Amino acid sequence: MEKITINFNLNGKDVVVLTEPNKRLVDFLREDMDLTSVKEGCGEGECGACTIIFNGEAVTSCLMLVGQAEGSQIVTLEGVSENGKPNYIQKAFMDVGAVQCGYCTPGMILAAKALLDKNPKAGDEEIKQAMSGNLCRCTGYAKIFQAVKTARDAKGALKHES
Amino acid sequence: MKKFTYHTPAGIGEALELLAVYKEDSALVAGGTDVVIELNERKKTPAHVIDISRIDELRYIRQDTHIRIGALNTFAALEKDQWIRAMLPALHETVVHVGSPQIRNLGTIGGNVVNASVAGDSPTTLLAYGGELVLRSTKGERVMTIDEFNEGPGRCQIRPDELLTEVRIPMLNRNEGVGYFKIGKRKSLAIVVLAVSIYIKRSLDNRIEDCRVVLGAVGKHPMRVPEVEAALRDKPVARNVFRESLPLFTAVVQKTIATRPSVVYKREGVRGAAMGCFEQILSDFELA
Repeated sequence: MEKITINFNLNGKDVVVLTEPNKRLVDFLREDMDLTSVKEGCGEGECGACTIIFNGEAVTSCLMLVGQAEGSQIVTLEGVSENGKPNYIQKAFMDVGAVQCGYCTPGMILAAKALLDKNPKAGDEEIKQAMSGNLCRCTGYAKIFQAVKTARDAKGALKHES
Repeated sequence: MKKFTYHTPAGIGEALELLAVYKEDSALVAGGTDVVIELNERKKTPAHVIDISRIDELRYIRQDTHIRIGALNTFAALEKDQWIRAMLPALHETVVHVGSPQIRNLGTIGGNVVNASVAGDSPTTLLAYGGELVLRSTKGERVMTIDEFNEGPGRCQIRPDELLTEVRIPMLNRNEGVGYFKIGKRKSLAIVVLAVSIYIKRSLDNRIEDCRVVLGAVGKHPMRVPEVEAALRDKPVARNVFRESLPLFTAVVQKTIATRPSVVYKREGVRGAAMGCFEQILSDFELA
């Protein structure tokens, strides 16, 4: 089988990788790129655990082939922190206590980031909508929702100060 | 996942040439949301995978005699399109209820139609709208109605060397309205348990001049219901007329899926879903 070369931007860095094409993007990110924050849950696009940000939009990486990454910009949880410190969304998840077992957390944070990057003043309904593709097996939705609202408000306050 | 050769055609022409060569031994990836699962579970084992997900020339939305939707428009693109929201409100209502935000960012309307799932979201609505499909191969182009196209489940009239390039809907006038109502097990990440889509054309004296009544996830593919259509024709466009037709919906569901356990639920649910469609149409006609 002919290997394929993938040129893409991963967590802010341009990378060129040679890989077999018969691989899902989730497997490629976890196994070839060692980005184990990308979790596989259902493998059918129903749980959102494998969510990444692909060209600015939240997508489930279990439903994509590695070849679809060509020319794209991909952000995983590893690319969310700033200078090794949690970013404002991660901080809000910790402050609110929105993490229980933690398996859904990377996908939740990325779904929230995809929304707040585009729409920093997202309303409560828009937040619920944007988080609707991510399931939490601990059913800790109330605190997750609270964390995203807290993140939104914190970011707004920061902007106001500066 | 079985080994395959991966192709990334830059445009429609190149894609058609690859399809002409590899035919049945190939699988197309548009959004990937269905086919990648099938590849991963080895339900499909083609020697060639043709990734058309970056063919930007199939992402247009245009209007002339028809509203023409390039097959590679994602559900998210259709959801955001203000013009579809205004001109095709029932299609807007359909796409916002597909899967989840993540799936809507990947899945395409063309993929949804060609997959011909029993529980597919968009074919029900497209059938009510009188939608047509443009299929292209290196040999030429043909146009087919959704009705002719559907064979289901999982089967449709597309030939192995053909690419669905466009879904098109005739322009509607002010005297035409379409409603859509989906029942799923929850709001998000839910496949269609039952869907109803209804088109009504009203005459100057406010009668039902023409109509199309479509049920999704009841038969092998979205199907029109001639019994209900005949009963509605020539009656006044009015809520009480619509209400009186509801037992007919129940009878059709009962007859079609009599031996299925879900019949008990669906024969009741269909009344609410149909009434939801009628209410949208009344509101379109400013009769609500």
